[in-house]
Amino acid sequence: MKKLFLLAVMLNSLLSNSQVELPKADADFKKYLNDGKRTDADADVKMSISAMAAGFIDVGYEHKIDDTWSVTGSAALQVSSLIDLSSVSFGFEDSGFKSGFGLGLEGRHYGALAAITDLGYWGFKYRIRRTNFEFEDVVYRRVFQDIYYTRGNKYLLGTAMSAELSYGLGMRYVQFAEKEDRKFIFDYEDVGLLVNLEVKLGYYIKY
Amino acid sequence: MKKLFLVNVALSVFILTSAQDKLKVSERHGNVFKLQGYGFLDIFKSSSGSGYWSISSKSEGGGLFGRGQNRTKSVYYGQSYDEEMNLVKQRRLYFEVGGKNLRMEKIVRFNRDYYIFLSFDNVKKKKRYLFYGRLDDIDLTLDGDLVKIAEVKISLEPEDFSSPDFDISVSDNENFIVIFGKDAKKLKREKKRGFFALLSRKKSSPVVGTFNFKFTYWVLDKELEIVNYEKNHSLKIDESTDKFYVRDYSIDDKGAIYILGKNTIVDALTRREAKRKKKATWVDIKKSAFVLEKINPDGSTKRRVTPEGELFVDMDILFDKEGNVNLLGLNGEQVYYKLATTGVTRLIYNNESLDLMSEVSSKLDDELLKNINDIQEVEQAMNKRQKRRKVRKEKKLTPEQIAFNDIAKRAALNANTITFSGLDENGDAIIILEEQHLEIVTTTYRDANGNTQTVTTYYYHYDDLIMAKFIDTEVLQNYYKKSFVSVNRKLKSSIDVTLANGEISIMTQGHIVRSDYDLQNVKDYELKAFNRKDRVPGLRTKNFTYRKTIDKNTILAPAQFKRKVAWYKFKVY
Repeated sequence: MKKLFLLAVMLNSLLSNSQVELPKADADFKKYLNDGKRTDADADVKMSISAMAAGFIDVGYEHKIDDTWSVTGSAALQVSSLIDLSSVSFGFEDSGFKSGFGLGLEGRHYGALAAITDLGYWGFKYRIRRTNFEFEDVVYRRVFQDIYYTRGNKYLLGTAMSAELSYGLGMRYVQFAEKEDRKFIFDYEDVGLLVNLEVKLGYYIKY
Repeated sequence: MKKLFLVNVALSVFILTSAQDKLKVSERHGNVFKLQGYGFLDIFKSSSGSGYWSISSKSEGGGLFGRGQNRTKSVYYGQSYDEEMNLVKQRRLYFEVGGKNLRMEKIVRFNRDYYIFLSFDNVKKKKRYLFYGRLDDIDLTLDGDLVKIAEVKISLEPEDFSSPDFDISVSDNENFIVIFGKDAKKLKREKKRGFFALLSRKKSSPVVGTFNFKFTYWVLDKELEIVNYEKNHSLKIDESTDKFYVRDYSIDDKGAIYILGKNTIVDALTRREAKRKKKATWVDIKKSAFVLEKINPDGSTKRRVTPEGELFVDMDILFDKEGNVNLLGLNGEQVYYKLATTGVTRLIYNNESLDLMSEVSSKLDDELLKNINDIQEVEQAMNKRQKRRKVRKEKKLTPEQIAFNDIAKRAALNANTITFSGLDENGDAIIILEEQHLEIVTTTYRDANGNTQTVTTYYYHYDDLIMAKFIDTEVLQNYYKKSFVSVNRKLKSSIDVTLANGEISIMTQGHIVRSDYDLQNVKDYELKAFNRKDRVPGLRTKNFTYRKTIDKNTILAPAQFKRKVAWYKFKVY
């Protein structure tokens, strides 16, 4: 009798174990969205790779205003003149680089509420770049002021790396000055078309 | 004793003339508004009982290279309308949570509420999660938080894997929601052949053997709790090829799932084999069967395969009032490389045992074919000279070609899918077929400089209707001839059918057809709104690409010109 009872208990436990265990609906849905990617970044600190070709170390800070808009401020220090625009454009063949810096401000609109980590954007950018150089023992200053429409794509590489590829189309206001008695006297100015291509790499920050 | 009540029926077909009385229909449209989004995904009756709401979408986020760069995201908009289809409100639906983009899978009406299903690809976990949330169709917002309900595996190398997906639907009795999930599976790459193998153009026949087809399913009850679930349910089929697809599925009152899948074996012949056997085609359809599998909530299964030797083109699954399984099928015969519909079949299986209780089959009737079969129609219109030429040509045909031509004459050539199937209040089954065919037109233009440009346009033709009704052992058949509608994009649904109060109401792209259950009295109405001459103030021209039947008497369809839209409401009296 005892054996029969034990057998019945064992069979019962076996049967109950063999029943399909049903999964439960989970109201804590946010944990399933955690894929380790910083898609909800608040800011992006980035460096322009394309600006290095002109000898600038250009560092930018993009701040997310909301899911659609962002604002970017950038500062650049010129350390050399690898592609010397002054020599190409204005006939200073043997110009010697002395110093330079740049500043920029940009407002951006992202599509599909993807600011600032994904998809495409359009924006308007103002940028100023000033370079001092020497030519035949005379110091000159060249100032570029650019205002242009820009369109680009943002990428999230890995978990927090940012990448950016963009083109720009706008106007460039060029000024040249010659240094006389410790003062720069602007004696040339021009306005031209600007076509711009930028590549940037950076890091997304979540506050 | 085996519970098998098999009724083999001698063909008993009544052919009726296609009566043509006119229906009374009002055609009105709401105000013209600028649509947010590019096209409508769906329209629903408002849960408040008055008015309607719709959902539209567009892709956003293209930057450097515009929208063509694939790096875009779908965004959704909701619109609400009054009873007269005037726009009341239009707003964006937000499916973004914490910077994560959720993709809309489906909206379903369940327990009088609307539920939205959203999915998210978590690359860290290598899973696609499915969530549901209640949608407030008055405010057009998500009501409350989302709930995670299902998951499938994804791959980080999408080129080498099949696309994972969910299939969500509400059961016919509206007591359950069923979700089918399919994991990403590694794709089998065809082995590259050598140069000489390429020259020989050898076609390999698919391997026939025993294959396992796996999928996961979840069944949710009225409380949205999971009541039936199985991960990677394996459907093992003997004497099959490695291709099997689920054609239809359904859920009964007890939560058991019925899966109807198609299993086809096609023998592909090489050119040399075809020449040697003097065959007109290089394919030989050996098997085209449907497999019905019942999966009970306790995990036990039962399976039935459609009668051996019958080639089925298409099949639908329905439940009658007693809960028995009704399979409605189209019988086919091979005509060159494909199956052409030559008959209809109803199989009734016992709900518990899946024993075959009844089998009724009927060939398509000669009188019906005279009117809808293109070959017969052309032959009837031939003059004597053309008939003589035809006889001369037929003498040169091979016996196989003559056989195929003979089958083609007794087939509904362009009706290869069951457009609608349903059971009326008496439990009698009704099948509606619509002739559909695709016409590809290539036009080459030459400009003044001599440059040529070739444009290929796909025209989808929607033609005559075939109606069949099974009453016990009889099969009634009738047809409805309509001027065919041609559109340059495939319609999501070409016809909508409702069965109520002893009438079959069929809404086609340009016509409303209504018949009694005996298929004797057919009334129709040609919709004027689809005519280009019928203008809507504010719309330069009209395009209709979407239409939905809300109930037996109401159809809604948006007339669209670029971003401007006016909704038409057709009401049958």
